[in-house]
Amino acid sequence: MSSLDMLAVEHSTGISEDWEWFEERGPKEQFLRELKMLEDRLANLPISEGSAEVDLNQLLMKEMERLWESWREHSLKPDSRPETTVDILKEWEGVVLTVSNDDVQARLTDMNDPANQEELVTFGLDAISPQDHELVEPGAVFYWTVLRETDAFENVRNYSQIRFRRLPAWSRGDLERAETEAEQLHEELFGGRDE
Amino acid sequence: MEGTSEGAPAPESIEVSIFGPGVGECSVLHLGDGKWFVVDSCTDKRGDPIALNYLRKLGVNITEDVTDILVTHWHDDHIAGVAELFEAADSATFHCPSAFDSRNLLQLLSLQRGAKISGSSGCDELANVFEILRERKPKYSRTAKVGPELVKADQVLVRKPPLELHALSPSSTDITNARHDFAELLPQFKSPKRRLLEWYENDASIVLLLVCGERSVLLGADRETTDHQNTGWSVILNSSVRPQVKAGVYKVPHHGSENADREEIWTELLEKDPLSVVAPYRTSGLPRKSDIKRLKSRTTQLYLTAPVEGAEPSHSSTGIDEGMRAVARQRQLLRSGFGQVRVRFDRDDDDDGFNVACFGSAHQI
Repeated sequence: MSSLDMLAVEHSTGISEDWEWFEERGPKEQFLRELKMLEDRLANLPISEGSAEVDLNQLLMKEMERLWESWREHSLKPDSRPETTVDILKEWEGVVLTVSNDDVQARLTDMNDPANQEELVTFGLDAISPQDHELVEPGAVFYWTVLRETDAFENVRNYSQIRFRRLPAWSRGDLERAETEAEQLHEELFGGRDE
Repeated sequence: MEGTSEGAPAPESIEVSIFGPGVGECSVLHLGDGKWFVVDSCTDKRGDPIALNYLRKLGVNITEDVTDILVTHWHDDHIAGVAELFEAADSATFHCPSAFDSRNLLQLLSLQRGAKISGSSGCDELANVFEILRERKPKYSRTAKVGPELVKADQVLVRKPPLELHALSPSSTDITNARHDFAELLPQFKSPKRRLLEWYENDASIVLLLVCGERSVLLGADRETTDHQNTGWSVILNSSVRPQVKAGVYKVPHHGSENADREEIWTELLEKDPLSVVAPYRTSGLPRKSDIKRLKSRTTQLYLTAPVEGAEPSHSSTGIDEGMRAVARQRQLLRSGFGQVRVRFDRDDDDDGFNVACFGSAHQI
């Protein structure tokens, strides 16, 4: 048995508790894939000439524990799991109708199928990013998206995201164009007479 | 079409049908001899104009027999789908409040259209109606005016003895105030673009009185009470020009809200215990429980066109509802539980009472 094989046996025994922890959370294949990557890295560790085998084992063990901890910490961060996917389940366009205290009332139109019924929804200001708060007033337009996140272990989470649309400001050209159009329409509809 | 009655009225039968899907309202009037007058417009859950669907279901020739369409004011809930209705009603005259000839209003419509902000709006509907009017201008005609019929108080809109349809508002002061409001709503240079939702006052809305022999119907639009004698319900109550009759059927103004109600309306303009219909407005939660209680103290014949609260939405994927519930404190469908309150009476027989029937979610409370 090579020192590396011995190490692997020792390692597996030494992390039995972690193994159980891990089995509860994900497929065994995932762990084995990661272990193989660790072993490959260990096999390529630079070893100084003349070192005693026992020292080598200690060195390898130490390095493996460090990598193991590093890997475990990394794996526990949900947003860094490599196989997390996010799908859009539904998207609405909303128009703010009223803002009262911390309540925002809005009308939602289904962007996937506009023939679907409009919804009237009330939600808290705390559901909106602080940088969007200044945009929240009657008439403001936003997008409400329901997303499904599936992580590496096939855990599913459905959640909402609200993003306010930053519409451009009225330009002098917009206002002048509207004035000209209004005058022309007034002439056609009402003969341009005084109001 | 679910939730509506079947069978066209007889030529001598006058019909007043009030529709309300939860947000929005529309009154469809049969003025006898197969001719129809539509007041306001709202859409069903598919976004189709309710009046258009109803009249088609009755077998009405929309092109020829819808003679008039009137919008009492331009709020979204009274105007949704009106352009589609007007497009189909090729020979109809379009009526609107006198203040709609305001250049500032036309400017607002142009700005909203140019801003390309999606979502339904009274602005778009009105802009589309004006566009249809413009297209209907006869070619090579030098006639200056092709616009809508501008309505103000004390006008007779229809006279077909023994039937008359009177406009009781807006007053001159209402019109001036509305024009001022339009000017106030115009955006300033560099101000951020917004969807223009509504203007704040309903004072310029058109209240209608249908008089047919001894019987009358009062359609209150969204008219509210004010502190001024020349505006709100005061100007109507004080008018010496309006027909001095009392109505037996009442379309309760502004979805039954307290600020649209006055004791004098019930004593001066209405018969005792009138048949009263409220179309809810879910966006504002109208009518409130207190409104229902107050209105029930005024009449025993109170009807709602739809439940005040809409059904909770349910999507095919449970994940969607779960994702929304995490954020939404309250959700409801804007247009669910749509209904019709229909009143018919014989034009030629003054002894014939009001025959009321409810369809869909409409009910007496």
